[in-house]
Amino acid sequence: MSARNQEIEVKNLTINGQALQAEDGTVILEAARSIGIFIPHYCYHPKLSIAGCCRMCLVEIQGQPKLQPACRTPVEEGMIVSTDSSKAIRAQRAQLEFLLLNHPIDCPICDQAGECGLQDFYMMEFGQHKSRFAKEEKIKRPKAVAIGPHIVFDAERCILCTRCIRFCIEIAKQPEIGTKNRGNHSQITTFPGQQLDNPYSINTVDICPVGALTSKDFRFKIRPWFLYSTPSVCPGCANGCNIFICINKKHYVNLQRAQIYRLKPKENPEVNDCWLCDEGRLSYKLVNENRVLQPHIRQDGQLVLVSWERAINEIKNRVQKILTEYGPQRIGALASSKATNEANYLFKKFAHEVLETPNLDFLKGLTGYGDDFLIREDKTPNTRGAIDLEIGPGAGGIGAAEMLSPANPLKGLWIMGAEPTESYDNEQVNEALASLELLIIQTSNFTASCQWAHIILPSATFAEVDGTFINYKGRVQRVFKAMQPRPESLANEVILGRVARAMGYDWQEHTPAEIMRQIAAEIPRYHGLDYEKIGDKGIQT
Amino acid sequence: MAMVVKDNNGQGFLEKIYIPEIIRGLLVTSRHFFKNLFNIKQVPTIYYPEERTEVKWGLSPRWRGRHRLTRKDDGMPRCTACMLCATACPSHCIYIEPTESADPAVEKYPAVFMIDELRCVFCGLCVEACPCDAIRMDSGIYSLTEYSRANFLYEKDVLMATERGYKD
Repeated sequence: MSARNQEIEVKNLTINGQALQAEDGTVILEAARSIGIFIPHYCYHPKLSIAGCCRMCLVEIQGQPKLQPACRTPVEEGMIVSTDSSKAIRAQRAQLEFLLLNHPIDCPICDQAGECGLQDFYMMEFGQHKSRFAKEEKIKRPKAVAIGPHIVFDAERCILCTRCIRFCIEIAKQPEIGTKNRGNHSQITTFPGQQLDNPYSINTVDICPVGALTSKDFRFKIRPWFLYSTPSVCPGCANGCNIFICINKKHYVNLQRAQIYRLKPKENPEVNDCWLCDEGRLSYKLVNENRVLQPHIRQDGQLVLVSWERAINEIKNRVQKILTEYGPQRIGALASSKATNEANYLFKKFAHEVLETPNLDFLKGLTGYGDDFLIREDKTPNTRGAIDLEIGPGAGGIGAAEMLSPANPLKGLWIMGAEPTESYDNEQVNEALASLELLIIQTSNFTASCQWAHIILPSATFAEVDGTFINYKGRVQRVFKAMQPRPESLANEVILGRVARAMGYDWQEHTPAEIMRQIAAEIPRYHGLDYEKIGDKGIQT
Repeated sequence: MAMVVKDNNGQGFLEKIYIPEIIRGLLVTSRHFFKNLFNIKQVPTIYYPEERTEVKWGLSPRWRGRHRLTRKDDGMPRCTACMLCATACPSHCIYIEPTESADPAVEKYPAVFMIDELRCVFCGLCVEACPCDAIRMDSGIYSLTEYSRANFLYEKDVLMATERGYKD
């Protein structure tokens, strides 16, 4: 017997006639889940402490006179459990009826409808009974109370599972809510003078099994069954939390474009368990708002909309003019820690081969609040990737700080996907950019520096491209394309390829997967990596 | 599988020579022609649009006409923007934009409620799906005419202004 087996004892038990083994200390609910038997529950959450207060998971154990809660009864040797005996099913039905006693008939206006635990169990085998409690007798409680900057609370819908309370104590480490009163009148409430206001507060909406806690941002916007989700990585900070991007498809009546409605955390024990901070969760807005939708060229001081052909032609002429008149030393290129590795890698190649300049660097974005859980001070998703790809000044070249100081020697500057004023002094940057003869900005959203740009190229956001981000720990993670780019915008790597081809270079059109293989071949740290190996959970390098 | 070619040239001598059958058919036609010519009141044809079905015979209560939105006593829409009609709709012709209501007794209501009548197949599933009896097809309007496609996007105000089309 190996050392590991001696440490952890394995117990043999039977659930619904199926024999199985489970490690000592596993609760029955988890053991049953491992063989595909679902036991209904509300208060139990695998990442939180066990409360055992919703009583939905009562199961019959042979030799024990009373039903036991499966969520807090550890497995024992020779235990015979049945979750579908008539006694257990009677208890589940009775308990569901009890939880629904004072529950309002709110489903049409409840935001949780469609992903509600009560709806799920009631419609499935555990409920479907007639209410024996008149609607008029239900206890009236406060509805739609804003208990925090992001959260709306409905006391009538609450089933007092206390997941939110345990989350605030154990995960967010800021106890701000508790229960008050007793019996029929108990309800969740914030502590006097406090709000549910912590950096992780919207997670309580995710874990709330009913519609008691709803997110102010998402509330009423759309029904969850209209949403399609794609796995991705949060662009909000360097932690690289795994997310689902939830979008709707184009609507036929008002022809509204597909857009992101919310980000939800995706479980990844190596990075974010199943949590996501509020700041990251609301970071999707840059995809929907203030987008650059067509190439712009400055003519007589005004930005005018032009076609891609015209914009690329203009770039070709003006870049070649600077290269022949002043030489490649007088042109600069700035990549971004917000762009994917694929875009940054191609940008480096572009600076070396097409612009032929040693003045290459990447821009770090905003820095801000950080903590020791999920939020990092670096607010861009891919700083580590830009460092690993060795994006920096070549021999005789200058770095970002010098390029953006008024004393720079540059005549032309190409910025991809970044905003210089985020990381450098505003006035200095403005002075430096105003003095340029040619400023090309490749961006998805209009930013402050666009006022100095001579050419603006619309690029796609993280939700509209395939690619990889590398988080602060060096974990390579996939970003999946959740939707098509806005009609005229293109992925960064596609734009660079088109410009290079227009300028007479023999660049093939590569998919992000092919670019990743090129990166893996070139950077020793990523040898042997490709999209299949990275998978949807990422890989530590 | 063998194909069977059916002889369709008639049976019996009289049918086969064709002419007597033509005359027999013309007799039926002429009988009806003259019967109707001298008794024009009996003809079931409706001279639309001078004559209307609903006036002549009345519409059945089950008739599915153009949609309308019902109102509460205070004139607000009964609709709670639950989106069940939009979900049930097989032709995706209903667009709703829910919003928070100023009335504390009402949590949400539709800020925009649009039906694209050109997409609509008048199946009535939206009426069946509605938990609030907010959408009905009892307007009795079957003739939808507009000068442009854009006008067929019926908005909340038009749908709410429509009354029930017929008496029980």
